[in-house]
Amino acid sequence: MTDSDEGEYLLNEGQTWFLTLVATPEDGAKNAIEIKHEVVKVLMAWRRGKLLPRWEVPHLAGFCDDFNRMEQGLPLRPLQGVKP
Amino acid sequence: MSVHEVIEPLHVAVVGGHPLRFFRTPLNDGRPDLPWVAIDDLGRCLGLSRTDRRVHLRAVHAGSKAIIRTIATSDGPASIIPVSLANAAAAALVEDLGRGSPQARAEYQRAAGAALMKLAPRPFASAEELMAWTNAVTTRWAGDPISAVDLMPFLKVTTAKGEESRLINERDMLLLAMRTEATDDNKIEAVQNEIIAIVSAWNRGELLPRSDAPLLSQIYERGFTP
Repeated sequence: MTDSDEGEYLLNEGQTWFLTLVATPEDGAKNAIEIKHEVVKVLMAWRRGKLLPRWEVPHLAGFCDDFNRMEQGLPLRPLQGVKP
Repeated sequence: MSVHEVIEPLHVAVVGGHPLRFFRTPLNDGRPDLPWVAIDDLGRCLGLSRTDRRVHLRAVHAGSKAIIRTIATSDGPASIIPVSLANAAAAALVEDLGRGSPQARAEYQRAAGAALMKLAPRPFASAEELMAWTNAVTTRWAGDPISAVDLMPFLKVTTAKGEESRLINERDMLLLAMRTEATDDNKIEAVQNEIIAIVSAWNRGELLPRSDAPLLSQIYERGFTP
């Protein structure tokens, strides 16, 4: 529980992605629009049978790096995407 | 790239009665990039006084220290920056501070466009490829992404009721799929799960088989087959 008695939830990868896709800047997700546009780029490349290089989607890659660090139990970088 | 290697300009325009040199990116990272412009030329072309040119150069060197590159040209060393950064400086000088010539600034923008056209790969295989390249170069230096309708306004359609709609393209369709709320009578949650599966696989460096995303594959086959 947090200081303000709000519940905390441990999300799996799919749930994290889902929240990322539906998040908006109004929710406090500052890079939500950029990440959505970058997800689109990944999908468009997938359609062509290609893996998009990570440098072409810097916001998404940063988000994934955070998630990967979390999975490995490493400390996160300062939070940029979603408001705690 | 060695500073001693003489670089030929990509494009030389006459702006404000003076030559303005544009170059290919000096960065060899393989990413699409805008043309770069010789900032030493720009102040003269915009019609700045000697004092204003000095102030302009100092400001560019201070503000773009990590980006600016000095290259060797047949006319001696030249400092260059991406045109988008030069655009911002030109706008501030001419519009905000009232220095230089608005006419020359307009000529500069046309010249930057002409230089860009010498870089663009062509023909593009599809509107999506054109959009992808355009957004790669425009967002590289912190510009805003451009929508397909910004770039190709003929995609806009005005309906009989006077409402503006447009032909949906692949990018819009995918964004819409992400934004749409799932209900009992749509399959959007399944599509969103497929999107998540594709992006999760991408994060692992894998390409999800098409058979693992049957709904998206079906939508593509129906609506977006070139």
